Amino acid sequence: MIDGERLKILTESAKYDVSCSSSGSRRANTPNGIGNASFGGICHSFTADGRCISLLKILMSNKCAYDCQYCVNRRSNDVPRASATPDELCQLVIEFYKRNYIEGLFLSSAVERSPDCTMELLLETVIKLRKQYCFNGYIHLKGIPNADPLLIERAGAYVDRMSFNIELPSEKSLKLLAPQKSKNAIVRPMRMLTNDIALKKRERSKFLPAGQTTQMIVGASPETDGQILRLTEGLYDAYRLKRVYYSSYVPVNFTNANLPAAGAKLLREHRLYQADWLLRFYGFTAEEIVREDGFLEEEYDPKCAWAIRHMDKFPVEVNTAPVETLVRVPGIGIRSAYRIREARKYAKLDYADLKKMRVVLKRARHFITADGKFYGEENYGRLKNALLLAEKTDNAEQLSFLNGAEIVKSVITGEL
Amino acid sequence: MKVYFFDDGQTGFYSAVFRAYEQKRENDAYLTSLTSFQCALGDESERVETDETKAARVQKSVRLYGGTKADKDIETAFRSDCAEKAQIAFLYLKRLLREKRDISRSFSFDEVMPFNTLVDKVWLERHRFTGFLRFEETKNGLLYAEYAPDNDITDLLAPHFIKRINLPFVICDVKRSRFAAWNGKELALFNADIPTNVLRSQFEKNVNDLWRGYFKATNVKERPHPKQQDGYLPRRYRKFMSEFDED
Ligand code: SF4
Repeated sequence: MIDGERLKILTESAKYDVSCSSSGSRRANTPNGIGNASFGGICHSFTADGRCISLLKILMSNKCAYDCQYCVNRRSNDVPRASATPDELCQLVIEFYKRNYIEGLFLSSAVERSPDCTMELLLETVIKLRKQYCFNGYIHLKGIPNADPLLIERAGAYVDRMSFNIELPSEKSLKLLAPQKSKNAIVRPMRMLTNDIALKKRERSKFLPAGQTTQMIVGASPETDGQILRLTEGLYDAYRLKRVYYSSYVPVNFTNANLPAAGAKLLREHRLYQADWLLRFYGFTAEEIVREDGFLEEEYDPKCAWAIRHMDKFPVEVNTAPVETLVRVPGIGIRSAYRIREARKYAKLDYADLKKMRVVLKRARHFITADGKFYGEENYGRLKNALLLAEKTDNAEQLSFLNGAEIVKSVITGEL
Repeated sequence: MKVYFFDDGQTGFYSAVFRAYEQKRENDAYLTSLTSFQCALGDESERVETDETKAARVQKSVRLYGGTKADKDIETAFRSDCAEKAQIAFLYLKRLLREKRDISRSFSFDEVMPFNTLVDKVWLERHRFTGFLRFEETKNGLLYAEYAPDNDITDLLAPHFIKRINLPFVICDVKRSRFAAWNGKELALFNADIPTNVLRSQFEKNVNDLWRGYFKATNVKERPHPKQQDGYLPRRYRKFMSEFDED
């Protein structure tokens, strides 16, 4: 079994990968095996930073041949180094899984010696875990850029999800801050896996059932929200990614002329996630959401900001508006829109009905009519003030006004 | 108002529903299984004995109009710890019998959201514990978990672990002395005394220390967000989660 000291080193340096999700796979258990995957994902604990622990997030090794400037593990950084063997990792996963600490493994690695060596070791580990340890829980494997495509492809048959991290939102920043990586080295395997997934689906064989994700660092380089969101949109369209994660840049134990001294604001990351949600589920395009100067509003959530810029489209009547229109109303989410759509089949809805149905009206009332009646603010200035106030009280209330039920749903779906 | 007391659970509830309708008191009936319930001055009250046959008749109507889902939902509702659960379920059932169709998505009806929320909360707590439950390995190689959920979810939770772990386990709700025991072949659900001296396997401490170490290491110290942590993982659950133990 691995010792506590190495575990600490290998997990501490893995934590900046923000993806924690264990969703998207329905892998079943086998007769002599242990584990299965739950399609919606399961959170097993929450750390003091408010993030969920679902997977054991760990590096195979943090001894890196590369020198990416934003990264703690870069070659030139003086930190304790460690690595683990495939068997040590497998044992740890099984012991943690049995006790229901985790949903599975998120395995990644620094580039030890060469990309191929590293990828081979990762591959060996996941094959061992599946075949020898008969583990059927969730595995998310990080791909190593510049590794042999054959190694990468083989891994796809054993794991549930793979990710190649875009790292930085533009090629220019990548060149500056991660000189040994190139856009191509990241995007090429991503494209290959996208094609493989489509192909294997037709053949009905199991291959990355939970697809691919990626992550980029926000606030380490000068790109605008618009650039980030257009890139995100492109990744969803062209590579069918399941999720794009944003990680606020956290300066860790160093100074560098190419990097900002302070970390990125959490609010920015929060707004980007809200915008990402609009892209994925609400039918918005990046173009619609971003302000002319290329950034998202800080004062309002992106949907609210969009609605304020498009007051001519409102109010909409809840009894007749199509669902695609309802979800564009600030404060009305997928669940509320669904409730409205179902409930209005049986009865005409008025304002009191919406309240009964627990549709949150704090924002929505300014953008809807219920049975022809409008309950919002007509005056544009006062409207903006009311919405600002809603935003302020939101942060305070966010967790208390949602009941426990809604919170758990939010965790599962990534909404919030 | 007439208060009907009944034995907790679905069959007792259906028996009381039958009685209220039989006496044509369904419009001023209040149903409860809580013996501690205090009747107001002037209220009538009655203790309804559980009657399988009468209960089955009510159940048949519920299934006829609301399908097996409505019946299942009522069963689930009775796992809730909400003091008002019987009355909420009763109002829902009454509306169902009046509308004579599935009303589960008629969200604007007064009776629907309160009932749906009751059921949802039970399922959501069950979902949470698919993640928050913690097993320990005992000396004889059994996986043993204690917890104290708000709702009576042990019976709903056990199948999740049967599917996932091919190993014998015992789940124990210490609040209700409710057990689910799986020996690898059969599941037993029963009530019993809480065992006092469960011996842990020799590896248990080592693995648990690694887990606690991981929990600390994976936290990003620069980004504290205790409010979010409290919202997602209520403090009352943490007593059984070793990562929150003081060193
Ligand atoms: S290759 Fe990965 S681990 Fe190595 S320095 Fe770059 S980001 Fe860090």
